[in-house]
Amino acid sequence: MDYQLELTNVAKHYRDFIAVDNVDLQIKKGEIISLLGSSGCGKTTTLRMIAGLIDPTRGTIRIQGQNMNGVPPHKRDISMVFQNYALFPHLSVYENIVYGLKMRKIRDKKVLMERAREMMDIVQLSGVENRLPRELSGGQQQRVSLARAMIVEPKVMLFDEPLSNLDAKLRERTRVEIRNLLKRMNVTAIYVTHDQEEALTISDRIAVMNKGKIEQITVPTELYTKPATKFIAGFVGHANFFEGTVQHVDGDRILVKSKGGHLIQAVVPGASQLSFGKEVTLAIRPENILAGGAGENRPNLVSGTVTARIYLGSTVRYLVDAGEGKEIEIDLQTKHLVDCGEGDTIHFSLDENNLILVDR
Amino acid sequence: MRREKDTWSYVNIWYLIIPLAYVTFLFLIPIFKMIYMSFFEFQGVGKALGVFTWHNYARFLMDPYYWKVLGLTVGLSFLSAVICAVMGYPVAYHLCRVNAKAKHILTALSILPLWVPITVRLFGLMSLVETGTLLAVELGLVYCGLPYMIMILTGPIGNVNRSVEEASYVCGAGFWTTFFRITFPLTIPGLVSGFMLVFALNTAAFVVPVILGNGKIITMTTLIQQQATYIYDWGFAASISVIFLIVSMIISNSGKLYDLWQARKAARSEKLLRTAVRGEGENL
Ligand SMILES: Nc1ncnc2c1ncn2[C@@H]1O[C@H](COP(=O)(O)OP(=O)(O)OP(=O)(O)O)[C@@H](O)[C@H]1O
Ligand SMILES: [Mg+2]
Repeated sequence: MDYQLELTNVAKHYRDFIAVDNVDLQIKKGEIISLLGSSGCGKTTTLRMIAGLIDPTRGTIRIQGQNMNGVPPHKRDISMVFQNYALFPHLSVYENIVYGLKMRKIRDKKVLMERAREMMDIVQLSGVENRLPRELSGGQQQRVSLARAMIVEPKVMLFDEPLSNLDAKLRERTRVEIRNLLKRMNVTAIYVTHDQEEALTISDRIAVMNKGKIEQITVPTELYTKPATKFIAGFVGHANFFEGTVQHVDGDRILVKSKGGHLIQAVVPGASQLSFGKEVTLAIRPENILAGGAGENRPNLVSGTVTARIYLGSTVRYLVDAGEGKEIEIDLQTKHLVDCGEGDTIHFSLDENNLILVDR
Repeated sequence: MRREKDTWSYVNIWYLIIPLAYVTFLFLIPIFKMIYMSFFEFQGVGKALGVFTWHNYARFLMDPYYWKVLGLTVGLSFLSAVICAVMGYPVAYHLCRVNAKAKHILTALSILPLWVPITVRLFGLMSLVETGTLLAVELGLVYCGLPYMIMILTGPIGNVNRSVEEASYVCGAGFWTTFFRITFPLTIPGLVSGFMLVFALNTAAFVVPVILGNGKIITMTTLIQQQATYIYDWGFAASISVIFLIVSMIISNSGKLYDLWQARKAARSEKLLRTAVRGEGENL
């Protein structure tokens, strides 16, 4: 299989600090991959290595099968949206946007203007083409930098948090536009973001980074339901964790004794490879915890004291002290509210089919 | 280029009295006295001034020799400022691109000549070139101007955001294209002020033409000195000074012409683009 972009064992060290650690990534032509991760985990560094702005300490980067090590950025046929926009301060918006085209030897004024107009419509910038970057708002500047990168149709497009400065509505619209445009141009893209929702909507696959490593690459639907590690379960959405030791294995069904002393039953695929006494961590989403059931013969029944009740609109989140300093989050639909306030005891059960095995 | 005016300031206006008084006594009064003196026949040191006359000016303006001196002064200074700009720019560029530690060391090295008194430096130079030649004077001017040029240029070059250059590379521009389209245009205002400073310093240079010109190369400054201290014609010396002052003022303010030109160019291209991009007219 020929990949459009292929990273093999790529690492970047700053003295003894490891910013990016053995990253492997294969991206097909036209595919959009999100890089999701907390601040400082090495996302920008990875993009800069792909762009050729910094050299990897080790490993190879291939674009269309060609080894890019030592190839300067302007010969890689890529484009990039910078986290800090990096617009050319002395050039007008229009000149900024067509810069990449001019560098690709497109000289025809008509063509340049046609493409610029199209791009400015997409990012909703029409009317400011003559202004200098410093005469624009932060969000407008960001859109100029987006337009500047997308107007050239490169082999690989790199986005470093391109929508971080837009308001929620505009961000939602623009990301749809970006995705449509990328798909129409059939351009391979890496899209860095902090925003999970953005990652989930814009990309074909999501790579979650943590401390310089890619912890999991998967399609958006699986990231939430099947997080591979504890970090991902906690990073993408909310999760409660139960650490414990395996007591019993029966097919996909396991029994775990948690450190808090609860016995938890779970149905997890691949459980049969676990053995007795193995330390595991189970995760469960707040919305998969069912309230009530005191006295019933439900599995995984736990009780605790409500310490806080947070109204979130469509749901209400309860923070529950389940003993041993264990805090559990429970989400309840507002219409199914149970009559519980702070300090009350609440009973709840963990849905055995929605327990996730992380950190095997 | 529009500049917003500050409407308030931290500085109490009365503090300005001190520098103002300083400037008045040491600059304005002597200069007006000099201008006054330039219109009278000089009768000798300590004696009353003679009658009002235009003669001092006429004498300078009518004699091609003096025009040549003026031309030589401006020409040598201009050339030296150009050479300083051409030689100083790459140095300043590299100073801004090395790591912080190397930058400290290299900056110190490049301004090292300024630590040595100028006469000492020039006597050193005398051992290398034949004095009394244009080459010697020009070398001296460049030698004195270069550290200033480098220091001034490190400001604007250092201020060019690196990620802007990176953006240019990523857009497909190589090093030189990036340099000429991005880095250089962004540093032109700094280059103009560096140029103006070196140019002004050079026209006002006195020690260089005295030591390296060795009496054979006469510039405006040495001409004034000759007239004032050897010939004792203070009236003529004063009129030369006034002419020199006016020429210097014109030249050092010509940097503003650049601003003006930029503003006009921006306005013109904006108009063109507005009609074109909006599709109101296709005649570009
Ligand atoms: N030139 C450098 N020298 C030393 N350390 C660096 C350098 N550049 C980056 N780092 C470190 O490498 C790590 C990764 O940086 P990077 O900019 O890739 O983070 P990021 O994932 O993009 O974060 P953010 O989401 O905040 O932009 C950080 O901890 C940073 O401190
Ligand atoms: Mg970053």
